Amino acid sequence: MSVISQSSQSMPGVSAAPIEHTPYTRLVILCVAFLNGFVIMSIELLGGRVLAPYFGSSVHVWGSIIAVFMLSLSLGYLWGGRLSLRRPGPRVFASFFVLAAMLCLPIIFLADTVMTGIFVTIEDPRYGSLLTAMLLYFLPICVMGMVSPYSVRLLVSSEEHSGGVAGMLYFVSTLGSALGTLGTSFYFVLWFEINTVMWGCVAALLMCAGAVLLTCRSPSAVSDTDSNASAVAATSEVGQ
Amino acid sequence: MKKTALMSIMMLVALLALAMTMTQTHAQREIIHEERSQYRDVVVTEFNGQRCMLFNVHRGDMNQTCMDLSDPKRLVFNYTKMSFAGLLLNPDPQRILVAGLGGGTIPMAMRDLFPDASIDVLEVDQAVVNVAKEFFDFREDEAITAHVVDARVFIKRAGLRGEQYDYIVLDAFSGEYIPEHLLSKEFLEEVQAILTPDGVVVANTFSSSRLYDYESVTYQAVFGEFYNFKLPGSGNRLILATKGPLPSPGELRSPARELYDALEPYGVNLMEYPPRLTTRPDWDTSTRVLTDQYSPANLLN
Repeated sequence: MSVISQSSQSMPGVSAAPIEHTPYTRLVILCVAFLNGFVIMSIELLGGRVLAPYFGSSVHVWGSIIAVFMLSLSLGYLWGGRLSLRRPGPRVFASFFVLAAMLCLPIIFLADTVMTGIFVTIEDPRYGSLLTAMLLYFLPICVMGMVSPYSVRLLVSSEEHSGGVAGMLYFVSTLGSALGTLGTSFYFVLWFEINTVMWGCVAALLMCAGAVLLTCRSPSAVSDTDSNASAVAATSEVGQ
Repeated sequence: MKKTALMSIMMLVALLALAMTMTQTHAQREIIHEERSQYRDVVVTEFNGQRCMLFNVHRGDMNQTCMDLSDPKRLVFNYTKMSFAGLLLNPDPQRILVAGLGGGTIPMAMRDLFPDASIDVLEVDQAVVNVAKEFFDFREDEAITAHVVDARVFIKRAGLRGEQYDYIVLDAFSGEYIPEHLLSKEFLEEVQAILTPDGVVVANTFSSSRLYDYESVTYQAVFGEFYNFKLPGSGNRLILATKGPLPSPGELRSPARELYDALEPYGVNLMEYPPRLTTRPDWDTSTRVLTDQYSPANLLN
């Protein structure tokens, strides 16, 4: 972190960050990236339990779920990166979380209907579980995947520390994934019903959207010099 | 020089000793076959005139099933014998469903006892079916079919097709315990849906697990009162449940007498079972029912 703030001090205004960096923005973006990673793995782990009543808990059910999550994330990264090229800002970023939260609702309300339909039409539980996983999880996880590259763009203010920013974001989001996996498999399923945990995930995503909207502002409101000054302030704040 | 020579000799001796102990254990419990599986490798051992099928060899040898080589008909495990208590509630089953194959001991015995009955056996792991056929005399014919399928999937589908069974044995264990999606209220309701009005469900569970209370209240929630069956010296608890009201304990004596001779060659003393059956709850009835939404089974076990 200290490296980042030094370089931004030494080269002010090389390329402006797409958001006004206040002392809280970096922290908020790292936090939402963490929660995003947490929620993704929590939903993946619950996925096995959602599908088990219809397709069993055979190894191919986990195969379907993991494959669909990987596919969704890969495309999410791609599209999130593309979106970050065109006028990146906090509004779009916050809308990812709102959209992901909305797309999680069918997992709560429609899972049984979807699975009953698929169960009746597809005899082979391998393809039944694969199609179910696609229908229920592709869209929300894809949108959650878009968060990662987009948050890199929001935090990067110059070329030379882009790698450091990306590394930090991978670190927090994957750490979130690890804790989401552990928390869900060790404790949440023992304490709560599956849908209660899903509601928790929806709430967490909406909180992320709220936090982003409250703290991050587009730099258009302030002058370039102001923006860079506050960026420096923000980075040195986190660096300590 | 001397030191090195001494060291070499000592190491050689140690190696020899190790080799000897290894051959000794080898003689005690000989591994005669290892079958690669999608789930967990299946190992067949022979020991003391018994051939056994094991899932978790490295984690405290849990025998899935054993066969007495000198008398293959005689059942080795208490819980296998106890499962025939279901015959007290339905003495003449016609359509039998067994979830969990193991060595195929229960379905093969049922095949011998009721030659006219049709038997479906559910086993999720193809490797277990292969081993049962090759080493435990399990065979399929026109009356007995092994389906490589998750029990939950098969039973749900049977319910949609409107199929019914009058004798259902739930004996599906993974390496540790019963998989959690085969413990929930919804699953038991699906089992109940394919049960004929005079049919019986026989479920094998552990009497000492932390899940005991959970399983008991869940069965109670679906089937109402059921017979709880334990034997001293056995770590298993059998649940015998029916769709309608249970027959009184007195009514169980006559089928026990009638079937006694047929079951004697299997080492099953059916006469001693009726007094052991009880409907009295010995569990905490305020325990939470397991559902598809709430089934932390493997965390509790």
